[in-house]
Amino acid sequence: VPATFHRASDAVWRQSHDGVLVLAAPDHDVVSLTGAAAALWQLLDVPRSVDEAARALAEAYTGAPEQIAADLDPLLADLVARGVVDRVTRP
Amino acid sequence: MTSPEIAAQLRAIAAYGLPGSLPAWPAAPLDPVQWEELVLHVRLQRLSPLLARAVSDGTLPATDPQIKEALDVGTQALARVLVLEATLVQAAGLLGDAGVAFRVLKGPAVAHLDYPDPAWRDFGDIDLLVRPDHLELAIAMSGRHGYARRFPEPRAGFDRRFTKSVSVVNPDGLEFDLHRTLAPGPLGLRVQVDMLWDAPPARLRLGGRTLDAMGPDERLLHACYHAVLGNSPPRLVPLRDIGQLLLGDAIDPDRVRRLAAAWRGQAVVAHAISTAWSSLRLTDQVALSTWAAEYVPRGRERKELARAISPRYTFTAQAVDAVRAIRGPRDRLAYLTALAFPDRRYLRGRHPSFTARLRHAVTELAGARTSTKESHD
Repeated sequence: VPATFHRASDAVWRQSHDGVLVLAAPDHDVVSLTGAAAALWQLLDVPRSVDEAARALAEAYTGAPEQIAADLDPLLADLVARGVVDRVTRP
Repeated sequence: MTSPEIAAQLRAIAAYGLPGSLPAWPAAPLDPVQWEELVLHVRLQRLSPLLARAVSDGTLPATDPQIKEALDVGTQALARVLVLEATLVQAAGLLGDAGVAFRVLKGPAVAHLDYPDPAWRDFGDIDLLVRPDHLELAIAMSGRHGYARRFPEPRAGFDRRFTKSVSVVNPDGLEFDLHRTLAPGPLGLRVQVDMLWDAPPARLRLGGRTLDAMGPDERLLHACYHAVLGNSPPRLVPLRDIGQLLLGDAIDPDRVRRLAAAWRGQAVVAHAISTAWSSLRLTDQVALSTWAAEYVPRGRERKELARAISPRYTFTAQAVDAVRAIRGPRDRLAYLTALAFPDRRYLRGRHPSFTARLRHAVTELAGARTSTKESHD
């Protein structure tokens, strides 16, 4: 069963002029998401697998879902490491 | 000192997006000197997000470098606000777990509950209303997490009974104001704090938590008190909050008037609303803006307002005026005793002897009286 990703519940965020600013905790760095990364943030208001997110982004951005999914893997790993996205493995 | 042209631009930026405002936008981008002055005051007035909006949609004409700078300062403000909100989320967990009842005040509350987009509202600290009998616990909890009081309590029990708020700050400079009431001096002491707690809270979602705030009528009244009593002349952000709240559809004007009357704060509320309408050049009239324009304070109320809006209305003058607002001889005596004979820790770095404090108080009061007289004339 694929893992799902969603916004970290304790993250705070604001829409900025060119995307989204997100912060996981006061002693973390503010993360700036623009373009497709900002669109991904909007999608992650509900838990989604990489494939689900990639299919949704493929409708707005040119590119095959498989390629977008491959690009999403490192981005999501980075966002998880920064504490702004949670990764949940379904039992 | 702000030049008249820049002051007009600041008011226009503060009114950005409000229905019925008649802002005086320039026809062409400001010259570099004016722009620099504008950005400086925009930062000081915490209007950066509104400036960013106004230049990015072309409402305020700007050159490409000016647009870039406005967007940069707007983003910096958003980042700072996020740090404060993340701190608020942490504090809410700590205070909630300790059983401290609190309501989120001012910036985060109005940003999420009243503005079209929370990103429009900048703020510089976190303010919480805490139940008076929970204030001591809230301060202790803050201390356990690295926050220290800015000023010691004059005497044990003073905060719970008389203070407006207690500021706590951590080594990184993050500050919380833990409020017992909504305003300083006699007006704050007349706010019936129980009414704030008896009213149903508004709720906002932040960082995965549901936080309580005051309802819209209380938020409006707080913005009015803050606008008039916080700074002289009033800062633009609380005036914007007043416009934002009153031009929305959540306010019950009759209830606002009843609360203001119960707290004997009608003159302050009317003055705040009238100032918001004139400063932001708002043309849409609502029930409370009409009431405020027609409200004529009388006698003692008029004198109290004149003192309150004087830039020379000092802490000492407020403290002396506050005596009259305290009910009962025992409480008055406790209040006066705390100020006349405070604990040693409170005196550290202040006027050390009773005589020195008295001399300082008399000097300040003389200044305040002169100023009040001037404002009457």
